Amino acid sequence: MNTFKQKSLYAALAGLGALGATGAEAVSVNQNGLGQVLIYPYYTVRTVPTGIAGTDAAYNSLLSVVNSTGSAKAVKVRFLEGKNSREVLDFNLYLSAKDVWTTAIIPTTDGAGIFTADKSCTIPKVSSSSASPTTFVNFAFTGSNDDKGGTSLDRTREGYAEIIEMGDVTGSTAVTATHASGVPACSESLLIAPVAPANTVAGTGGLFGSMTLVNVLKGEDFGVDPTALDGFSTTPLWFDAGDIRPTLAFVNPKTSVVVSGFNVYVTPNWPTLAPGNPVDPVSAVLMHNHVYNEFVLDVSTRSGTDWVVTFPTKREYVFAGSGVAQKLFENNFTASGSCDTVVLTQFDREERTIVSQGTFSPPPPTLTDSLCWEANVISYVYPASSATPAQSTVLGSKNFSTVKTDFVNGWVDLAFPLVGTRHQLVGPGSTVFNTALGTVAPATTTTSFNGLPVIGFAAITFENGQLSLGPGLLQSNYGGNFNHKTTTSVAP
Amino acid sequence: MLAGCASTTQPGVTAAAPASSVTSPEAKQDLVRRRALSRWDLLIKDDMDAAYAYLSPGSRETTPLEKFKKNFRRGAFREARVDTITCDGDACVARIYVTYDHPKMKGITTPVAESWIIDGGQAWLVYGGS
Repeated sequence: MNTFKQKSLYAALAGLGALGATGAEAVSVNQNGLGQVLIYPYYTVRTVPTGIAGTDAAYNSLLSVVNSTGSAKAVKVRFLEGKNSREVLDFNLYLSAKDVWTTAIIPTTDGAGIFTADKSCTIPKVSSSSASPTTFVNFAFTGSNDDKGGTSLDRTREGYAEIIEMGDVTGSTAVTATHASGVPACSESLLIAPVAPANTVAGTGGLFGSMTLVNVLKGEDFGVDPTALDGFSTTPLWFDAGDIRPTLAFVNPKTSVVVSGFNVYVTPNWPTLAPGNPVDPVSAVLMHNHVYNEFVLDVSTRSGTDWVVTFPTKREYVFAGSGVAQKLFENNFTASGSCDTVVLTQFDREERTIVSQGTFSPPPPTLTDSLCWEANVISYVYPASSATPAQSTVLGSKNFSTVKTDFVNGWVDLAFPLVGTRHQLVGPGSTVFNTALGTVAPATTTTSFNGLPVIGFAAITFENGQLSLGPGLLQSNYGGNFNHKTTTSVAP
Repeated sequence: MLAGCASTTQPGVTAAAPASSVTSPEAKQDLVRRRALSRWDLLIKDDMDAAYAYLSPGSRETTPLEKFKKNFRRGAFREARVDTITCDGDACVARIYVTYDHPKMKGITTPVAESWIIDGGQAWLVYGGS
């Protein structure tokens, strides 16, 4: 399926190239997992019960990024808290050719932090001690940056991460970032201005990575792949480590490529001034109007299900304060979040169905369901008469909504309905290549992408406890991660 | 259930010498600190029988030694240190930092919260296996 899509995309771009279009210089989701940008949908260090009475333990989130290319690279590593996507830690990382960098996000006394055992160069230096990690900060949501979502460092305990390639590095910067006998020199003067930006050229992509959510006391371990964006930038995007740039809004040129069915939409010239938004091309490639996934709540296996639903570009449209969001999303961010209407339709495994309205607990006044954060967790609870848990049942999230159901297993259609002009991204005209017919349609006047820019996965547990196996007992707890399935709706 | 239970004669259980005076809050915290650290030292050394003896008598009734052994990720942990002990009467919570190795990264330190109870002059881990 992915191979087909990718071949279709290449075929489309080849065809468009023949017609003089510039689709090859356009941002798209690389279904093969390689890119210039990696968006990791979730991290957490929340503490949860371990299943052993009297013992609670925290999740740790282990991030890796791999440079599969033969060029050294400078990348921006960014961690964002989950309520309103405020940065909690940014820094610059230099990867030599074929290099891997790993870090662990671990809880601190009042928040979270990272440490690394890796030798790759970072500016500034990341702690190598798990006892005294480089701590996440609340500067972006306190003082003059207070967004009313809470100023506590507890906010940093869950969120998501993004890695943006700033470019390939050459010359003395590449030399000092390259490992010799396993250790790079990391000469700081060669990794900062003025040398580093002068040695940085446009990036070539080829990054991939993973996130592992592990609770070692609970015996659970979820592996999560980041979403990879390719064709993000044709220019170098080097910024100092103390600068929060580049962001996803730095996509250039402002052209997107979206595959919907047999059609490939190449949409150039996204406007950057209102009503446009510089991040629109990235939103376009992440737009989906339906998210599908399964849930399992079987009592016999003591199963639990949490869905992660993350909107990586929401922060570019939603601002602190009351009123409506700039576009695409419904509301600005207040103390209770920035809520968007969603419709959940539950199906059990025998095709019985419930269309949910007001399923989430506690219910909002309007009795419609809504997602209010930027990295949301939907926690499924059986039976429907259950009390609302204090945190999500699998990942321990506090940015969560609860779906109470009398189905012990099945699947859910999470839809983002059109609400006025919201949940629709209207962009400039597209050239449409039909991969089934091999035809190229003339450019449309406008292009409408329906839904919201979304990524995520379902984390499902099976806690069988101990099974009898001959004379002994076998610990039999499992955790599985399943990426969301989506539909893409585009209308000329 | 947990308090006041007589000591058991299950395998792996040895008599624990009662601490002297554990009436003051400081003495309770100190006792739990020593017992929690000692138990983790045994777990790291894979002396599961000795570590099992730190479970409260009531916990041992509900969790046999074999089940206790299977519940624990043996060999994963390399170090433990006690961070804080907070007590409410004879019920205490020990916050402990344990360090473990994962295939993706080694030497990861993470907190664990354990419930302890003081009974008969001794501190016991409250434990209920899944």
